[in-house]
Amino acid sequence: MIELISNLSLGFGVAFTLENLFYCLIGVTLGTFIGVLPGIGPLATISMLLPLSFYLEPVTALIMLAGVYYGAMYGGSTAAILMNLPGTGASAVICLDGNPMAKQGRAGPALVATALASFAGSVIAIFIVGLFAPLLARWALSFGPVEYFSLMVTGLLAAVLLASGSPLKGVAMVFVGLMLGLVGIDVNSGAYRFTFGVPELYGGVSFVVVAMGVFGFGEIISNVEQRWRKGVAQPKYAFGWRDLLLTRDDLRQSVLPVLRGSAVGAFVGVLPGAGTTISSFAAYAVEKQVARDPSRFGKGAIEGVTAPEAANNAAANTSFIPTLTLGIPGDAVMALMLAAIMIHGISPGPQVMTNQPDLFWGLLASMVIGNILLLILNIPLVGLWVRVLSIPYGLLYPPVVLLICVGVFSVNNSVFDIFLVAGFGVFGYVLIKLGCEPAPMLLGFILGPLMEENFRRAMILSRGDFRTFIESPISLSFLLLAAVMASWSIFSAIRKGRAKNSREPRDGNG
Amino acid sequence: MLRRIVKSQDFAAAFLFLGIGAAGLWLSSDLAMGTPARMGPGFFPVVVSVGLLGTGALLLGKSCVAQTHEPMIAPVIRPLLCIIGATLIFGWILERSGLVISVVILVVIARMAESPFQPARTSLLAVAAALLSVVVFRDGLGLPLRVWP
Repeated sequence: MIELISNLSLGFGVAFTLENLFYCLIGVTLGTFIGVLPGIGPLATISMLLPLSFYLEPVTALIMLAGVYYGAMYGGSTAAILMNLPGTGASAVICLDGNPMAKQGRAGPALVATALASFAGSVIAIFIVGLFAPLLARWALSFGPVEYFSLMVTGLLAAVLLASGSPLKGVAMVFVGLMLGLVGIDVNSGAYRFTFGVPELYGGVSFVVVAMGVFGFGEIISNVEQRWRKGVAQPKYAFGWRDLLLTRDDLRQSVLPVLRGSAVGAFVGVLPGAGTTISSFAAYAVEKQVARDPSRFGKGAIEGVTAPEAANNAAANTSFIPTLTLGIPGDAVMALMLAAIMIHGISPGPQVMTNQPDLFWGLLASMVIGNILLLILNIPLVGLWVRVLSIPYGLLYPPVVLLICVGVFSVNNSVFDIFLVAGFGVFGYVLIKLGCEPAPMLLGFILGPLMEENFRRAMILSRGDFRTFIESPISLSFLLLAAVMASWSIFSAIRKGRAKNSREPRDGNG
Repeated sequence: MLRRIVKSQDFAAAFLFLGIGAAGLWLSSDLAMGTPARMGPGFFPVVVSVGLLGTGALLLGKSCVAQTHEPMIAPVIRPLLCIIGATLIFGWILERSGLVISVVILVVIARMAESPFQPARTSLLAVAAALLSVVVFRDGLGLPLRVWP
């Protein structure tokens, strides 16, 4: 504990200078405003600022980049809540309950809750890192391909369960997502898979294209369609200062979910590869499992926003452990951060935490500072963001279509992605018509390539023996957890079906 | 009863999944399967396609025996057509006609998805959107887009 305090004070001592605060503020501000633009996320923003960071001290550069990262993540959540436009896998989870909250006129509380939850998540994660860093590093190292594969199976199953529709459709959507993830050249054999001879597909489909098409376009088209059916019905929103704040109930309902989410995020975030995304999905699934009334989820439950947001930020913090100690970046943003570190002559390795404590702890402290600045910047902005919703929908959706188009274009500077997003838009619309939820598909899409790779490695190591998955204790416990979750959901579906059938037959697809 | 089944969401969704699964199986027929110990490029696609086919079949069965059916809601074609059409045309002309013209056309077509077409509001919106796109996307974010043809 004393060590933790001295480490933290070292970190804050490094990070808390006027210059660092200034660059952090620049990062957070730019990140927020660019992150709000759908499809243009942290990656584009960090790439823009990377050249500037070469002229700065390593710690300052990292603090600015961390600020950008946090700002862009928060901006992404803002777009997800206000317009159902997820730019990252994590914000796809925020869409599930954040957007319904906005539709009920509670966009203000949703945005404030996200800011607070992300702050809380990162602070809690710092303490977890401080107390358990060596343990977490060891836990990350104990993950081989076998464990990863089982973790992903469990994660996908959790994604199925988190969708509020029928589990069977959720499983099917996971398979569709896995299939989409296969598009492109197979890295092992060089074979073209599902590319239809289109060169633009050789590198695979980008996440932004799928998410924007299925969530964004699907949402816009069905909104406009509903206005045809019902006539123009713009919901009335209240903009009093009070309506933006969280109620006491909101706070009470969020405390435990934020703690659970942070814990989930801190542990899953350590695993290189898909930490931040899986952590959001997992936190959401956990909340839904422990909730007294799971049917509230997907309809604007505040825990569905705060737990994943806390998890996501906690995971972002702990994902620095594998990035710095093993040199394995958790995602593309971390890879850029790693590049920024290495440009300054610091090589990652297990000794980074002991040899360069100022860097490691300074970075963690800077994340807290970044989150504080984010709060200071964004709480006043909430009023402004919420007003976006008071724009008549007829004037709002054409610019959003434009934002989506330019956003997907910006990923590869390729017009083909605009055509592709239109295609996914039609698909997303069909999915709405068929009552299929797209969130499990997105997770399948993200995890598909990782799953295949880890399965391949596991099979090579075990010479094709499937028993390898139950011989590792970690893998076995994940698979058992998956089995328990699956049988529980089948059990409760049957029970619910019985209860429903015994009453008068009504519509329903449970 | 039969009609209710055919019009139910689950029934149609089952066919969508069966179709995608079959297409996946067909497209991966050229790829080498390999063995579990030495997976070929076709191994995972085949497993996934078969999984999707199986799930689709289960869903089909369930939709036929289910006692309650969630009906599909008939689509309204115009919003779909206008919004997707606006996107496709935008993608088609963006690199030739430049940002300003493409944005104006996108906004105008997208606005046609709504019924009383309001020329004054629409043109104002289109001009504002074009102006802002040039400032934000080209000047601010430095996207490689030309402004004029």
